[in-house]
Amino acid sequence: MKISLNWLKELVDLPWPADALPEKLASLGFPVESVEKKGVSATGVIAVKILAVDKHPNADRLRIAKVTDGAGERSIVCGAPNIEPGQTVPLATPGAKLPGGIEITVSKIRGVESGGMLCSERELGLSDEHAGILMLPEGTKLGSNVADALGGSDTIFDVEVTPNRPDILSHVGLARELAALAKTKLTLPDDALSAAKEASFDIEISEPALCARYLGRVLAGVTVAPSPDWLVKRLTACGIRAINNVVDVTNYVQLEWGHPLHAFDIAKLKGSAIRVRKAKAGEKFLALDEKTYALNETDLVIGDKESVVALAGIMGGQNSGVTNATTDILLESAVFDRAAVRQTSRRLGLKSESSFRFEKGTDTDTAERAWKRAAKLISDLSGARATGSKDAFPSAPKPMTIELRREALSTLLGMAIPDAAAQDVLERLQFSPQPSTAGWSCTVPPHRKDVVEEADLVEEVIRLVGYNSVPSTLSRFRVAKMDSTYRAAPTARLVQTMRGYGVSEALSSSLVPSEWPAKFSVPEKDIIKLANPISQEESALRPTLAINLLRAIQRNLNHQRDAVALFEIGKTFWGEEEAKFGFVLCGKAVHKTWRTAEKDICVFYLKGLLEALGRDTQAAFTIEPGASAPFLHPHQSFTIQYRGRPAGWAGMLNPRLAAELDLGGNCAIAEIDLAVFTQPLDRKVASLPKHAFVERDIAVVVDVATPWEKIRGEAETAGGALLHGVHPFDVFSGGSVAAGQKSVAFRIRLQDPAKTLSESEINAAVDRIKASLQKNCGAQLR
Amino acid sequence: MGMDLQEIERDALAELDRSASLPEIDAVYTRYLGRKDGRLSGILRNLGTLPDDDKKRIGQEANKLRTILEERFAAKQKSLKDAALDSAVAGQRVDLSLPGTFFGRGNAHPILETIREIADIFGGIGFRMVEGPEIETDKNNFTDLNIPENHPARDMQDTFYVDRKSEDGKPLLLRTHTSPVQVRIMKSMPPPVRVISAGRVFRHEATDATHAAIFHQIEGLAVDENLSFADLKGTLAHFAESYFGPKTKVRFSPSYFPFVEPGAQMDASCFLCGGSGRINGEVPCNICKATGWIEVLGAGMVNPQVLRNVGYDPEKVTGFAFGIGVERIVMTRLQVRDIRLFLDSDLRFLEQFS
Repeated sequence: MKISLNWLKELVDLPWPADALPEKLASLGFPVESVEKKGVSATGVIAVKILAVDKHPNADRLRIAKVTDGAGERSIVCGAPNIEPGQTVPLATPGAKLPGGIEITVSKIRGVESGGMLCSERELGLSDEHAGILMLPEGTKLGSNVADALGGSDTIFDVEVTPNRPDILSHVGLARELAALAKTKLTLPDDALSAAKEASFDIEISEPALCARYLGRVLAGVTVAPSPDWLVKRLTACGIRAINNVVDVTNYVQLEWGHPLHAFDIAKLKGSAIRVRKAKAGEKFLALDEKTYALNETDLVIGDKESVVALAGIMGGQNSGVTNATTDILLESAVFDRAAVRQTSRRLGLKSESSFRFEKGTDTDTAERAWKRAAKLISDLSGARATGSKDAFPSAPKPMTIELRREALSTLLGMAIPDAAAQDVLERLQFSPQPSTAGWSCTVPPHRKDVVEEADLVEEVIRLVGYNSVPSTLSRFRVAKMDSTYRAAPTARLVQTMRGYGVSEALSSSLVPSEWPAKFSVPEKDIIKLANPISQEESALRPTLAINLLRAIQRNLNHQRDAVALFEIGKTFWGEEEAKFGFVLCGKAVHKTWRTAEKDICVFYLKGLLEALGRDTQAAFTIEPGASAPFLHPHQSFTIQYRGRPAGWAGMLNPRLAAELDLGGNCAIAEIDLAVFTQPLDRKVASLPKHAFVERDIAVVVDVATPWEKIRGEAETAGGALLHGVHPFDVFSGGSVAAGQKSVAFRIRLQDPAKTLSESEINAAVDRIKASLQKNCGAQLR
Repeated sequence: MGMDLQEIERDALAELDRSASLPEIDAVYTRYLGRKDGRLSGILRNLGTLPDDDKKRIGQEANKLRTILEERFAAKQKSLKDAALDSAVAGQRVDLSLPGTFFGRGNAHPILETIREIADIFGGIGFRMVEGPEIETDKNNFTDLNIPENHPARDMQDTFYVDRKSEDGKPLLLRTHTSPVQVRIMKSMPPPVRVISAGRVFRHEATDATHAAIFHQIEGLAVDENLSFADLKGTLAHFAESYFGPKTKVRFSPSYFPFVEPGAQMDASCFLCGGSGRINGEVPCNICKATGWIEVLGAGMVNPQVLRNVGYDPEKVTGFAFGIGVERIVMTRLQVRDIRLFLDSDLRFLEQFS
């Protein structure tokens, strides 16, 4: 809300300088977003008349103007194209200070002395206009201060108003608050007008629940014309374009009292009554914005005998608008239900300054004050006679009274407020406090619809006493016992583990383009879509973390990265909301350096990371070869099993998908239920072996299709309790190995915690393992 | 025998001096001190055969010589080993200007790191971390938080709806703030309550450098008997001092959130210029735009209507709540100029937070 300081000063005596106001307003809860100085902020600029314009002897583009300030003449060098003899223009005299710190001196310009500078609007700080010299109105007193001639300066505060305080969307409202804070006098705008007769038209409210009051006033004999300068300036300063004296007054009073008003051209209204009613199904309405709207039975409208003449609280109609030919107007000031206005405005996508205010709430008292003030101003400015008025007011609302208990006040604030201080503040804010046994009985003024219970009054008191006068206490606290329903998942161990292995913590968007879920075989019924997306790019909730992590890889590859490792913990939406942990590895696993060869990400890096994760987080999941997910590599993928059920998948990206996404061949991806990693740890410490272990190497040749898992299993069974590890160190085919066969060499570790193993015990174990492999895996020993 | 000992000493030391390698030293050692055939060992072994007078004297002298020889052998061995190491070390000269072997470590995301840091501060004063879903009901997100249908405050939080409905038939939505977690917690347990919750929130809003449709909030809630606005101030001042530094000052001004009353906004003195608005008394501070203050959070006493909505009795308990916009605080503190960087997973950005 743009607030003019000059306007404010007419309404309230301010004991503070302008630059202290933002802090005062913030202390009341209305922070100032910006401060703008308007008008001539220059000093030493006077009005002069141009007597003659001559060529500059040394410059084609410059001219020499002979000017008079009424007392004496001077020569001014000027480059502006628009100066002519007879014009009255602003002259910055030597010693003048212009915005931006420019100081004017007598100087020679291309050899000719100039006794000052003729000014453009920009040079005076009025606007950005710099095409030519500013023309002052004819009749401006020569030699007079231009700042005065142009109405002086003003300061515009852009005040942030929270939606609970529509009363502050007005100069009167803010003045009322400042008067309460400063304990100074509030002067309300002049609305004295001779009493009007009963109007000869009727107002009928068919929907009293949606229209609490409707005031109408006939102003006859209006001359529609441009508004006077002061009014135009005020509107412009507050960001409103001037149109004509009638429309401008309704806008002006809206800024002054905060209440929207509307003017109808009576000549265009059919019949002798208007009616506040619901629209009929299929009824059409041509609004002032020149668009036609299709209405239905939920829309509140103003209708004359034949048609809709206004959309209540939103916009008037073309068929009844004020034009330059209008002579008699009906001035409307009404209170419409905020929900009704909001619904229609939303449904039609039609917003206006008026609907904005009605949605936030208006009151029947302010409606009347604004109505009177506007009638007064229109009469004054357009020569109208206020001839008749009608006030449809089905039932005046009863003022609300709220009890403020002394004890509630001190308990909620944590400080005692003296009775006199509380009483004083409540009086200043017009709550008419009546002392009662427990505290005060307060009457809520009509413009304070936001105050509905005791806590609101507590805020009112402390707002004026000052939030910063409340002490700061770090209370003793009772620790709350709670069940685990909403307890946050402990992810620290998982995060630290992933970071330790060189994978970066990432966050990606929860939204994905609508065509992506299909690439991950998400059934249509399981895709949760936004009902009101902003763009197709962000129209479905991510069914898997994989989508945006893969897109992150694409972006990073585009930034010339050759290795990307990212993990994310977040919610996914595959039919339902679930917490997941996911990661992607792409490109190089190890970079080529002066002492290492480079290595690409492959399925064994993926598996190694999963194994390390299991070990470091103590998450008891198993990694089983094969996953049914079609977006994974058919031969290089795993299912993560946890407590007897699938809890995730991992694998190299399906080469077709990798090619489609242009991700290259070495992209690994995994997603696992977060719950796998957030269980309480269950650890026992084993006692340490006292005796050394021994290691032996075994090499076998087996069928190429025999999985390592099978060899390991046989070795473990045959090795029995002595076996403490089986590690493959060489796997190859070809060469001396027959076709269809492979050579597998592995190292076994044998240990007996109770004694040192004898050579014969060691040999017996090795022989058992070899025999078992021969028998069960068809192995030949090497 | 005395002569023998002198001779052994002379011969042993002479041979030791001539030895130029560890195996040679070992051989000399065996000849003189070897358990089986060592010359000195022989004398010591045969002491028993000597007359008592000689036994004592020669025993002392022989043992003394053994100590001397042991020391000399050890010294010679060490000097040979040192010399060998020294010559090896001479060959270990490397170009130390070459880069070190890389130990990879992943980066922490600045938003999550900040959430962990703040959660830690509140954890220290008894606030338990809780979480709620991102898809919420209209009732939890709005109605129970005192934002009924058609309330203008709903405009402050333009909402994404999803194509699913809740049990009451209303469309489900993406939570616009973390405050519905307050409602869930209070409905799940009796007072006292002391929790914080962090997570994603969603606003139906076009994205640019300073606006994001998805961002993070941290929400705090305490409900107990006799909690006051002064307790709210003390708790949040403790947070500001812990997070921005012990000299941080705070100020409160009235603000509006439908679920609190009185409502407040807290500013903290600028951590860069210390609240003076100028750096070194000269250059205007660009962190606080020369005001000396930075906006930190919104807060207030839990609105009695909210307490009633969740089944608490506002006559028996009071509470306070606060909400922090994580992106904004990180952007201010780290001078991040574009909010879109946080969800972009751009390693050039993330790597700055290792």
